[in-house]
Amino acid sequence: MPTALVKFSGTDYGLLLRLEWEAALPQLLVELEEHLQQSRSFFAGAQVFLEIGQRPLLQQDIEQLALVLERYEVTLRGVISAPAGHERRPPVLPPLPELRTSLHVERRTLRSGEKIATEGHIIVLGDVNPGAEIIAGASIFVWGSLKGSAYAGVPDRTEAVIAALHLAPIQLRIAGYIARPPEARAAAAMGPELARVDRNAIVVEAWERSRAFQQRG
Amino acid sequence: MAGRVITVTSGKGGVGKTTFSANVSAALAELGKKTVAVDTDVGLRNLDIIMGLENRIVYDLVDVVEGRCRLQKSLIRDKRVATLHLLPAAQTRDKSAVSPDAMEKICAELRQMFDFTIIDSPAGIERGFQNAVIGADEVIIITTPHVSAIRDADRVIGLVEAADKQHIRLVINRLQPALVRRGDMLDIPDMLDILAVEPLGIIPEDETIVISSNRGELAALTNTSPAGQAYKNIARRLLGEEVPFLPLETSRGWLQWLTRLFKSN
Repeated sequence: MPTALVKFSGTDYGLLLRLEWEAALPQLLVELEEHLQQSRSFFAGAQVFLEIGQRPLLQQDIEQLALVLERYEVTLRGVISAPAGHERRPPVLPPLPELRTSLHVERRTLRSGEKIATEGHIIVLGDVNPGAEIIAGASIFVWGSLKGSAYAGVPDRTEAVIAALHLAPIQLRIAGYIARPPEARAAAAMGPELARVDRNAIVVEAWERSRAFQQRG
Repeated sequence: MAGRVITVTSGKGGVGKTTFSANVSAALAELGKKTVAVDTDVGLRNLDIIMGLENRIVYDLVDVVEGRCRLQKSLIRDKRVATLHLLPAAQTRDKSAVSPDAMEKICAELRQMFDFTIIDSPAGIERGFQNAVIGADEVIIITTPHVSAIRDADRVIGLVEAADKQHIRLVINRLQPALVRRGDMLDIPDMLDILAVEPLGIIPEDETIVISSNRGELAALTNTSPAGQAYKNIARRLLGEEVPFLPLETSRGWLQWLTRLFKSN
């Protein structure tokens, strides 16, 4: 039977576990175990964040709690130590991979037969001529004409994009998707465009209309 | 005396490098400049045939490199224009017979002897190309209005830029104004847009070139055909003269476009 000492509540980012810290830890552990046992199938596979308020907590205390949770197939994802009243603040997550991606700037025109490849983003200040090739682990931006081949998001980052002032490539690839421009596509008079993966295909749209860049930071 | 060493190259074969080298060398010589045309296409020599000097070859480039004769002795002097000379390639060896180092030394020597050293390079981007380019002060890229020739020219420009040659100019050969007008051939602005190097000349398609080449006559010396005129104009531009481009009619007013490009330089 649930007691007032142990309380689970649902939040946007997972289950939140709150304990009444006035009680001693051994008592809390017993109560927690009872609580989990009663709704075993509900908790199995769940991920919880432990709310500890402003209470200083020893690592071994947390380890003991985690051990009990583990016994019932519950994973302790994090510990929230915000002051009371701020308990709905999301836990601090590791930085997004996008933010740690390196950036390579190429200040020249790439001619036929030239190839540049990096693990991060690539910005070309110049043209990419037919027969030249750019390969990036993340996104590709060409401040000029992209008339060669561009492979972004190698090998599997579907959130990568390819953008150019004039996008007239021989072939585009983003992660595992391949696209080539339609035969009838007029080469001239196209404004800046952006290619991205949408519903399992590469789509190209005018830069102004594309909100993908803003969304992806 | 310190003359200019100019390499003529294209990447793609058959675009008219050799005919260009022969005719521009002749035109420069006729303008009073002491000129030598050098054939670096070892194993597939042609320049001597186009210049009509095949039957006068005794020593060649490989003989010089391997020390069998002095450079001076291998040079053939043209009988039509006294200031025109040829350094022929060997026919019985291949490109590996000449090293880039040896070629650079020969270029340095020729620079002291001639106003203009025009180096005709083989097709391709291998050893023969490196040999042709290593000693050059200036490079002329030849292309035709064909997608494949443009692609190869672009590749070669990249390699020449990587070799730190600053002065690169473009010649568009075998242009057929009628085809361009109908939209069936690449237009000049389109080509310059991709290659983005300074144009030196445009040579129209001209069947008299085929005839004169086969006879070993030089169009730049013997006739007043449109192509012969274009070669002479290019020679004068090399000497720093401002010569207007031939009035080839096209649809998109590329002459104005060229004028703008020159002014912006």
